[in-house]
Amino acid sequence: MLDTVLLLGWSLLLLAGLWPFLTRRHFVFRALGFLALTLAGFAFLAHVVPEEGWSGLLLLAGLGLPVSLALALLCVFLARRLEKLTATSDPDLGEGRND
Amino acid sequence: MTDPALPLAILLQPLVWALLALARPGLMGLWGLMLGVLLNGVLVLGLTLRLLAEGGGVLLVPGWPGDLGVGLRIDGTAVLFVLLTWLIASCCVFQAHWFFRDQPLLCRRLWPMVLVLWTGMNLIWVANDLLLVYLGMEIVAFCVIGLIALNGQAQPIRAALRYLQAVLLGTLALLLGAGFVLASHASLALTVPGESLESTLPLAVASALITGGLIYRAALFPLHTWLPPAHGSSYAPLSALLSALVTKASFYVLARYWLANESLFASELMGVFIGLLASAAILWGGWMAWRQVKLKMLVAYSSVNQVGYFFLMFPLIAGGTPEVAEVARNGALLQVISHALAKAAIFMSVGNLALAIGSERVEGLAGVSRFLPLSLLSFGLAGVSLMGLPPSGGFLAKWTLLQASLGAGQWWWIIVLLLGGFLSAAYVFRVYRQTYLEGPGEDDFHYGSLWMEVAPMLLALLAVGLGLLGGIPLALLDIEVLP
Repeated sequence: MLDTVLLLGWSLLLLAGLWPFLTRRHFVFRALGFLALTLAGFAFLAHVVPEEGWSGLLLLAGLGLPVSLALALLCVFLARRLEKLTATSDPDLGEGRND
Repeated sequence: MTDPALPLAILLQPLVWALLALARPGLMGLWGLMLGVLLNGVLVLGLTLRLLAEGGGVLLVPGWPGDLGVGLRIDGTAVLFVLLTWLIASCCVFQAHWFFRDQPLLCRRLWPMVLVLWTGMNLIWVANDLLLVYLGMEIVAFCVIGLIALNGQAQPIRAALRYLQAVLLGTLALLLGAGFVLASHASLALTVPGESLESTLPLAVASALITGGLIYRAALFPLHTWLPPAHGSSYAPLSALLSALVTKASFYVLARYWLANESLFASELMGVFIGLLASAAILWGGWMAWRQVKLKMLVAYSSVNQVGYFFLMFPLIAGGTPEVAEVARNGALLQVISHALAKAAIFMSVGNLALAIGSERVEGLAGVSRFLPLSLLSFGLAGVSLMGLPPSGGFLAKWTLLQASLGAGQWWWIIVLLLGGFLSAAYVFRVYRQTYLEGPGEDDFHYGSLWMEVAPMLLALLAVGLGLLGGIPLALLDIEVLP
């Protein structure tokens, strides 16, 4: 039962993470998706890493999660700043395709 | 050499200067910056000479149980890249000082970011493990985003966001790849001397994630789309820094990991797949560079073109003998070095040309050959290396890759090498041709400073001279960690 719930939770995190990238959503959603993917990745690793590797995993998570959060926040900050500059009328704003 | 003081001093010195730049921006005038550059240069040269004298490198790991291989690896390859970083970063700092000398407010944000980026680059070169590589790459990423978006306008911020997306996905893949390495090996070491990782399913997943993530961050075709806007939108001396060093870091880590763990990575299929992507990068990047109307975009697409040559190493390693693999490694790393020198020189000289004509368009260059001959000469010398003409470093690198292709019996890469050379010649001569045309109106050029022509000329001469002095980097590349 617990395994099923965990698998379901993990799949939802994975889907939530991939969805903004696959559907080319706004950068803010992509940042949130990236956080969900990072969490999903670490949740999966917690299952496969043996006991002797746990100190390493904690080290990776201790460094990786704050850095990921900082990157996501930076993404949100830049996206908001861009919105202000382009007065939200630029059709390429959320697409990121404009050279 | 088991004393960690010198490598740690090299890592920390730019960081100390960055803190000084934050706390006392007034100290970061020409003399303050040059003092930092010289100090770092003395430390780096000291380490290089010590390594050459001792003939062997060292692994600086804590050595306690469960240290996971986290530590520093001071071997010839690492020191060569630390030396290259010093050379290019010094020139970029000097150039940027003259470029931004009228913008003190901007400089308050600029110098801390440039100096922290310097530390991050050095950390990547000497890292012995995936954890420090990850840390170094994130330090670099934060600084790069800040440098791209430095002028706060919409176009650079958009480019920074695209770069950030590449960082997000590349980082995630690297982090998860490191987790899978940990799952099967209980170690994060990048290179385990004397042993190679056995291939298992978690390690195969790790290799795919690490390779994919690093390829994305290295901007190999078709994952290159973030590079041209990022390098084309930032200021020229900063584009020089980003293009010459930052994209090389991902390739460097990937090359080290492949070479150390050939049994894990080097399947012929994987090698050929990467070789095909590399060929597409060389041809597509060259074609796109030739078609650009803006100078910096032309140079940025030229980076896409030149990055392809680095990755030709992988099929040659996978399909060749150990001797061929060594020649391929030497060719690719020489290409990395010569491209770094040439690209920094080209971005700086293009910055000078754009400043002179007050425009970024290639067609605006008409008549500038009479006005800025030195910058144009720097552009041409660096272009000789990009084209791979003798006696430049680019020629030596491509000749070495050609020999490896023949040695491995994979002659088809030679066609790619030759076509890439023609395309490089096409986009370099397109700029040159335009500068010798005469414009319709009167000349109206702006002149920055003679000092702004020094750094690109020095780097361009080094890019050409590398072909004659190739023995020095090759001697360093052969210095391994002593058992």
